Amino acid sequence: MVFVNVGRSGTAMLLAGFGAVPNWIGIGSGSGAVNVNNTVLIAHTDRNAITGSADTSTVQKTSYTADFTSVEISGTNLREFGLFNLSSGGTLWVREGFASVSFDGTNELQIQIILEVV
Amino acid sequence: MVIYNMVSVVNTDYRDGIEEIEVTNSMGDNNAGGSFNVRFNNDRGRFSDTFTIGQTITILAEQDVNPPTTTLFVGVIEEINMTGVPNNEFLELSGRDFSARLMDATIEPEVYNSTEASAIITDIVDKYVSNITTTNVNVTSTTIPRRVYLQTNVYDAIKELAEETGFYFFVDTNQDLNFIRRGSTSTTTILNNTNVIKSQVINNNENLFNRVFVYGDRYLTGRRQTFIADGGSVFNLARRPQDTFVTASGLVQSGGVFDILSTAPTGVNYLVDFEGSRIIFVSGTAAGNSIPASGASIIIDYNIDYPIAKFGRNSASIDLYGPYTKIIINNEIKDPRQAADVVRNQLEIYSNPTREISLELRGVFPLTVGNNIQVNLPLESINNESFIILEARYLFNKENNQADQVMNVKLNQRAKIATDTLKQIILDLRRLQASEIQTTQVITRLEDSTGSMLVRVSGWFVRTRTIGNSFILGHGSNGVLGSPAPSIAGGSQVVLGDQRSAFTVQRSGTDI
Repeated sequence: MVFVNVGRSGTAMLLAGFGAVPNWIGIGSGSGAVNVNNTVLIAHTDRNAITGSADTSTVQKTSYTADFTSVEISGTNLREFGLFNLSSGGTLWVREGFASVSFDGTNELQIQIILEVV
Repeated sequence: MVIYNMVSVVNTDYRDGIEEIEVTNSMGDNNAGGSFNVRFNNDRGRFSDTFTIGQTITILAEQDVNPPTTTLFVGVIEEINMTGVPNNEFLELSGRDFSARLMDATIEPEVYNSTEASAIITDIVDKYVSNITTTNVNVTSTTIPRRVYLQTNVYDAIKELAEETGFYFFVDTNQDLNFIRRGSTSTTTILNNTNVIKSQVINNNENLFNRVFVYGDRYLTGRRQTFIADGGSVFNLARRPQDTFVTASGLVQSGGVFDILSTAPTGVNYLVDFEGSRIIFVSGTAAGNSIPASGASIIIDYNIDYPIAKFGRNSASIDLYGPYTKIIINNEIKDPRQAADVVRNQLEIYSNPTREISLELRGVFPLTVGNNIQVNLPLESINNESFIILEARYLFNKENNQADQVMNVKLNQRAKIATDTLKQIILDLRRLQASEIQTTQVITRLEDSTGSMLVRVSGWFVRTRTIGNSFILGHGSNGVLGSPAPSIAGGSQVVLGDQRSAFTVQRSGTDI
């Protein structure tokens, strides 16, 4: 998973009290290469707010978890996801791509992203 | 009666292996500081790797209480010295109290105008000193009109302010700077034949000064004098001229120095006679005739040098002891009022002969140097008089502890010793070196910074789970109660309630 350049800028802005915190996880079916220059998902299909609040119970770590119901994920070939700071548009912070996972209406999706400050 | 002592370094107590502890808290005219020396028996190198430079050390001692709980001294380890001969290994720790922080810091070029003395001190300590608080810096009634610091040592700057305000200062065992009016605080202990083992009272005139001169910086001020030439060559000025600028009938004249050459050289129109306060126009074969024609307008601009100098004397002291003169030259005094304050304070402190009282005491108790203490020793002609504590010295070892003779104090006034003279020489040299520093200097600061931050993805998970025959609103098949659930082999009925499976990780990753 890659912390993309625009996400780094977003982090710097947050240190100064500007910008929105990343509370949204988007999913997509695009299969393009993951690199630091990504600014969007290749084929964005859905985006959900994280479930509850980000988990900061572990020192120096923040965990974001988003759930997608069987209804909204049905028919998706999931190949990518990313962390965003707005419900639409906004800034991509991290992106990952992988071999597709298919959803046919019988299953649900949960995505968890853990960021760590070291 | 036995004295017990203990050393504590970074929350670890040491009572065994200590051969000797020496603690000295002493006071100058307006300042106090402390130092320590602890000697351990370092048998088989048992303490060789125990201590490090910069650690905070606390020394405790108490009579008939083991372990002791009374703190005598808190300071910083500045030197670790290991010595050894066969079967005799020693380790010595030494250092100063937290006033060392003041001694090791300097004030960057800075100017204070019309600022109360304690406000200057608080500001200096906040800006330039670490680990020292200023809770007990008391407000004075003295407003400093103008004060310039040019890489001045913080300790010396506070000392100077203390001298002008009649205060003294020290850093206490809580690492707090105390700035207190001299003689305003008294200790409850009375020194008399119940606790004084030995006494010595010396009167002398070593520090007696009743005439004080203070010379500070010098200032130049501009002045213009206008003349109508009468055919003569000499124009007398009101003051000795510096940086002259002369015009004759509106033409700028070139100047030289009077009597530096036997005849005026070519190109020089006038000569400056500094000591005679004169401008002399020249004439002659080489220089040509520059003497202004009668009626010509002569304008002479020049600077006048005004040195800051103050003098004060104590007539009563002079009548009693004769004149003793002290001269202070300090270019950092840039305000005449500061010079006057210095004169007043010096006369107040030094107009009478020194009376130094040295006492050896029984017992052990913390004494704050600078505080007053009452003394009653009729045989030495001291009858319930109050004196300032100048020095409290503790020497703990087996013999002294068992004999209950660990304390020595000096009271009232301290006779000047060689190190005082040496210290003054160092201070004067530092002032001389700092005189070229300007307060308006822009300094390029190259300072280290530490710490870094990296934000990374430490892990991610894509998980799925089957919905089973749970009723799910809006779902094509599981949204209809009683319909077969497609995910269940055999087509179980959709029911209310959570029939979903546990999540299964499909994809995951981590940064390595």
